[in-house]
Amino acid sequence: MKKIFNYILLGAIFVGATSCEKYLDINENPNNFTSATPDLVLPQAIVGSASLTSTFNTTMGDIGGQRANGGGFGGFGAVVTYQWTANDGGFSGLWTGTYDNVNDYEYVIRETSGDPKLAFSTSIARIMKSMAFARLVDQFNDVPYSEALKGNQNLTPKFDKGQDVYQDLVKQLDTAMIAITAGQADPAVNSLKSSADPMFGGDMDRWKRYANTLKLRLLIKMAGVPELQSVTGPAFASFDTSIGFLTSDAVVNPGYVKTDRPNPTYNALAYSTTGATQQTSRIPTKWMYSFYNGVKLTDPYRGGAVYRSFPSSIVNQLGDESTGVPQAPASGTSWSVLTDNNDSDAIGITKGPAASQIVMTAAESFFLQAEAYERGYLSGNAQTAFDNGIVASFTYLYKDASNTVAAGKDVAADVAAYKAANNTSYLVNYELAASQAQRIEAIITQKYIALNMISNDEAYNEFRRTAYPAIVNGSLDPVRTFASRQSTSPRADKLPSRLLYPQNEFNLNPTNVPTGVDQFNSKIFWDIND
Amino acid sequence: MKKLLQSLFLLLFVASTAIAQERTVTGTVTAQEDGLPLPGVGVVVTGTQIGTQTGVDGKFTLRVASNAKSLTFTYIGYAEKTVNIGSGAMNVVLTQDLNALDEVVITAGGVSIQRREQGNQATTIKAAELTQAKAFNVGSALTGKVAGLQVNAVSSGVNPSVRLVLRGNRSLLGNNQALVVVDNVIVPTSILGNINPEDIEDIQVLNGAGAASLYGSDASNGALLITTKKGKKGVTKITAGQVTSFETVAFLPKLQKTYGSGTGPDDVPSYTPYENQQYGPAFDGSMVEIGKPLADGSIQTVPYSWSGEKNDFWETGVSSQTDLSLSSGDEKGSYYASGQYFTQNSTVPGDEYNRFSFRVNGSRDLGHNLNFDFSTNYVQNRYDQSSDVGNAYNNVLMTPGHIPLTRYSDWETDPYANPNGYFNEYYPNPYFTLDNNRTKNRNDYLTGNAQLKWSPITPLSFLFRVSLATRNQSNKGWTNKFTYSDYRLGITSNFSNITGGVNDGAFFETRVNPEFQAQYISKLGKDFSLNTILGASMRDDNSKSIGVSSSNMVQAGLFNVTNTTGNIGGSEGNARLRQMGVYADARIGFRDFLYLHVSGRNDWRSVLAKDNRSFFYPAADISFIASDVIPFLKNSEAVNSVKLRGGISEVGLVNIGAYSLVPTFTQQYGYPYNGIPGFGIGNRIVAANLNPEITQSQEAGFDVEMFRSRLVANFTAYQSQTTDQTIPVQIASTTGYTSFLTNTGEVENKGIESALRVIPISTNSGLEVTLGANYTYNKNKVISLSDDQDQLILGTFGNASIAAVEGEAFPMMQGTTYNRDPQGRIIVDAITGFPSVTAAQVNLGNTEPRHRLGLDGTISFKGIQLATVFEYRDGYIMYNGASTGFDFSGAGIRTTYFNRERFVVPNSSYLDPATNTYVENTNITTRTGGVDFWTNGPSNTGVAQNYTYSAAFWKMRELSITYDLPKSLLKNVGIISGARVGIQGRNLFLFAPKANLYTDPEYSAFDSTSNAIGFSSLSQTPPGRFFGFNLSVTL
Repeated sequence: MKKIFNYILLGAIFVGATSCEKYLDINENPNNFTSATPDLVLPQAIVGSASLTSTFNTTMGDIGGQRANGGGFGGFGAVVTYQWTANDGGFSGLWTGTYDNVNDYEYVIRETSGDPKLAFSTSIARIMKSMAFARLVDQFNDVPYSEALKGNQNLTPKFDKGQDVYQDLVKQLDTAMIAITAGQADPAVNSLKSSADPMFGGDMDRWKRYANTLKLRLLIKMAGVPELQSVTGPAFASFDTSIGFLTSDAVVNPGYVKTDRPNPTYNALAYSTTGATQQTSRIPTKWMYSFYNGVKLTDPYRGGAVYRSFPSSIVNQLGDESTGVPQAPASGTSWSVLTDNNDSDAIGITKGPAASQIVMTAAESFFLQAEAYERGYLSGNAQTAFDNGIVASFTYLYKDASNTVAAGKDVAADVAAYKAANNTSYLVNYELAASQAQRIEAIITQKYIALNMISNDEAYNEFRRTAYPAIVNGSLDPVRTFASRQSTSPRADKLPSRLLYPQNEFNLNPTNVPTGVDQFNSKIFWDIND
Repeated sequence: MKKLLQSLFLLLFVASTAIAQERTVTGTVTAQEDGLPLPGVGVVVTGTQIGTQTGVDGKFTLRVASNAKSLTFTYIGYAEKTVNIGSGAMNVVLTQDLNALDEVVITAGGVSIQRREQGNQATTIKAAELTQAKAFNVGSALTGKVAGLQVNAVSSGVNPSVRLVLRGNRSLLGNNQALVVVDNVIVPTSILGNINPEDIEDIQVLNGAGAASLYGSDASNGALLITTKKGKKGVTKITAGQVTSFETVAFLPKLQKTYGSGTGPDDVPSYTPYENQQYGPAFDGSMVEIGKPLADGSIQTVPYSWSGEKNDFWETGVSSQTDLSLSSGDEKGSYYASGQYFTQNSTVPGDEYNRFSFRVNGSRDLGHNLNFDFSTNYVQNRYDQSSDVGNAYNNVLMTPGHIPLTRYSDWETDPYANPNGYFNEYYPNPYFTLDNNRTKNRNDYLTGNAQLKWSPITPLSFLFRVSLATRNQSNKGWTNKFTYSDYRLGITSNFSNITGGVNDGAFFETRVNPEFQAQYISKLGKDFSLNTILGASMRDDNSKSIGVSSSNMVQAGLFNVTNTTGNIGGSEGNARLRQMGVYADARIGFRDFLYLHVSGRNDWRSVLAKDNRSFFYPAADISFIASDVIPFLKNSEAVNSVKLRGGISEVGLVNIGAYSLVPTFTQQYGYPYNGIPGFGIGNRIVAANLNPEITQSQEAGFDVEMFRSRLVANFTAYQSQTTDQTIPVQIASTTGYTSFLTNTGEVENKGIESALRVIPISTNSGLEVTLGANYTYNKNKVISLSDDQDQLILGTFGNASIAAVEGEAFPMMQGTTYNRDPQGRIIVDAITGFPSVTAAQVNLGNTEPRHRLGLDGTISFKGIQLATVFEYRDGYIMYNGASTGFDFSGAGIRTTYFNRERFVVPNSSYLDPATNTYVENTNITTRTGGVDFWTNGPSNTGVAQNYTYSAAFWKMRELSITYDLPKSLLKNVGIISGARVGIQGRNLFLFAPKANLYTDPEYSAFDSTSNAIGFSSLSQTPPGRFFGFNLSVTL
């Protein structure tokens, strides 16, 4: 009996063991993809970068001079004192959001670089990853780069110096441009469907120009640093200007719709998906307003496009929490000329829920060129580039939700009128600038105006690098500086100099986070001003 | 054993005939638990050997000497009883003796063994004890009755969910709840709220992992084995019952009753008729206007005094339970069928629940040594609840004390109750909130099993069993559209029209579980016995959920996703898990006093990687009946039995669901757009070699019975170490990911479980008093987490978090506190007198009780039985996250602690700038003591410690009085053979420390499966006390 029993048992185990494998092999996920082809990942990563452009823009507005606290709210605390902590959610969002986003590009590069046919995808991912890392260095300086994005291969990546990251990003952009050029000559390389490229619709020439403009932005920032001039000198000497630079705005539109996936800028600066007015605690600064309302410059053209109720918009000075500070308008934010939450098409910053999201303006491209020509980095006509920059700025702001200049708007006429209205200001009329310093001031000030509520972060970066637009250090006059009235900064300009690393990095990568970093004394490597 | 006893009785019977007899005594012996006759009960004249046995009908006839005073009745599994001989026929009721060593109990794997063989702590709860207070949730019915078992009703409302934990929390993030097994089928814990308590024969609680390890990887948390009723041989019985119960609010938060609506910056209170904040002037009884005028100019006027209506908002809940059951059996088979209908109205206005359940159990002897058994249970329940109870409660608290709140229930027709005319400028009418946000749920459960057992030869049997558990659910939720009048929008800028939304979903889960078992029971020689089991089981779990939702309703009142202008969103989730297990179990007995039990099980789980999915659980325990061996115990008059026991085990718990091993890609940033997909990499990476969590546990204890079972005690000490916790470790986002699911960390639990039961009074006249107590102590500690992390946040609520912190008890409450000087005094500002809050969260205390004490008592006399259960818990804290509702609104009692006047913060100090030292503050009063202080974050509402309090409590869990109508009375009614009437109450009283201003410490703001225990919010409405009456008749 016992023997028979043993045989039965042995047999059962044998049969069981073989069918067992099959029975248990059911752990394949029916709910989510566990792998995705690069052409599924790349477009959403580009849309993610565009969304982050809006996040950087909004987040940096308080520091960069464009945004102030509104009345009716209390407790702005660190927003107006600059006494940030590493816990500050807004800033850590820039960090984590960027790393989440670049991880997607890293995936695309990893998955496609082995296949020459996919050279365009690889190159686009390389360009976008470079853009995103540069944006991160511009706020955090040293960041994990060479050891980052390795998953559990390296749970505590080291921090690379900001300037080293920049140098590698220039190389990455060169690699991408060379690969695209080679790919364009090779019929075997897959061209991109326009639906797979929500930024340039598969136009690889425009990708190259975008990459070249990014490269110019990086090199100009590096060129001011004496120890990096041995790098930037040869880089400018061998600069391939034949590729050209961005001549039209780089915008992304995967098909934004109002109800649940609107344009990120519209969502941040106009209305939420439920129709609620955003930015109820924030209004424009008197500082920024002075570039439009005649205090510094007269610009009812762009002022009327950017601000609700121009020239009598509700404005404040950052840090002024006294009673009587007006509340944000209830019907729509001060940066939106949309009539209400049913309006879907307007000019200015918040063009509409379905409008394209700006990633880089043509204006910035022209102002970068102007600076490069003015400083002799590259050869070209600085004034032409400067004037083109102003025209491009008007053009972008005059575009409506369909990304074309709105009917009834005449860019050329208004630019001419703008020049006439400010006919004594070298900030508008380049030929009046008497020195290189004034010419650079004009270029950067116009860039600052052109990037208002479009790329507040880059406007603030350029202020830190060049000290333009000029401010009066320590002034409490709301149009002479954009430093907060309640600033606790020990610096002469009463401003912060950089963001703090997020708390999570201290918690989770403690041995590598640079120590001794604070928001007043530590600077980004290209910040050569005091 | 049984045979031996029988032949002994036979012998006695034969012997007794030889003695001279003088009179005849007749009678019937029945069982206390069901009133049915007991055949084979030994009946002897007390102090002699003269006796007989009862027949099949429980009747006996015995001739006794005229001087015989009493008879003693003995029956295996029942307490011995001595009854005076009276004049008429004797009706003797025997009570089950649960701790008798020879009682047969069901243990893991459905195996029947004698209690003497059991080497682990186990407690049996019989039907009578379970249903004495007519709890409609089986989990609640166990509360306070079992050493080591912690039962928390984590919420209020209809059919609240219950969390059951044995021997503390072991897993940081995974499941800690006891395994629930009904008739040998592992079922979801939610069954406890759905199974009919009247269907249960008994519940065997296996406290430790070792006892349950045969169930495999789900058993590390111990198990509750529920056995449902079967028909009895030769007895046909029909029982009908009705229970009606009322629920009233038992504990209300402490609210201030002195100040009405308004606000008072700088301590100058002013009355505002439409204000929600209650920082206005003190009540003075004068007539005041409330709200703003309606469109027609009318306005309400009420006395400015405490109306008490905030507390009257909660209604009296009513529940009704109707039962019918039928059982019958003959020599070849038996069956049991029952039905129950239960309805409940909540204390929350408008919330309803009903449940219908139906059960058929049967067994049949098919001949040829074949036995067939089956049980089936169908349950359906229906919920109709508000989905916004938390906000409604908040809106109640946002109602100043003089407002006649209950008059606003009819918001549709009463212009002052309608949102267009409601007095409150900032918060909606709570009745409107309840009505306008609702959810309906329906659940249908079908569980059952069928088994065939074949014994080709006596010692050997084969068993094949298939079980099924399914749940089928659908739900519908909506927020109705409401458009305000232009007049209201014109005078109130705070309101915007409610656009409405609808969601609809469905879900099913099915578990199929075939199992095979071979058992061999035999004597090995003269001294040894052997009971061996080999088994194999498979399990297949399949579930699917789908949901659709949409917003922006076109028309109010039509709750269909198509009645919207928003995009209809859809979701789908599927999960399939499989498990295979083989197990072996052997008990070797030596001379009926020493038993060694070893078991082993190997599982294969589909959710783990191929190389890791096989794992093995060994367990061993030993039982030694000292009283059968050690002479002084053996010969002791006082001691009936002493059992020593001990066990060790190792069990693995798989704490991941299906498909957790591979990172996923999801559509992000609004994708898909217009037909174009886009995917991003998820934020979690998973360790390549993920393994189950392993719990190693050891226990040792003893069971003692003394004084003819009138004193029963047991004691167990245990400890467990759970290692390789499955934790999504937070990682730096610079890795490209934010969490890394891996095995790391260790938790230790240590504790004791003890129980004592005494029968101090048991008279021949039938008066019996039983007193019981059980005490549990559990202490746990997080030994380690991971190299990169010394704490892990499980949940955050308000300004507090629940965390696992290395070196501390788990779960640990962390929260903000006041900045304090080195002496622990609160630092206040030298000018404003205001304290300030810490930026960081500090450890505030553990949130699970260290000590738990259950007390119970039963008095029975001539058919009347009084039973009660008390429970005490202590050694833990709780946080109420509703500071907005209480202190921002000014409704909370704390805001009046200093009569809303400037005050010196007690035990405070300030920094003296001259000396740079902290000086005791005796005279710097707060700048204000009114709205500015109490609604301010840094000085009050942002300080988590202000809302943290001892969660200790005493509860009167149960009180019931039942009366069994005498048989003599029922004879006249004819077919009725038994009738019982009773009154019952549950959770009648809650005594909590004064510091508990808020609510029931059993509550949890998160659901019962979350380990983030210690928060309560306004979503848990005030706890209820239940009381009512019951009636049952037996045919």
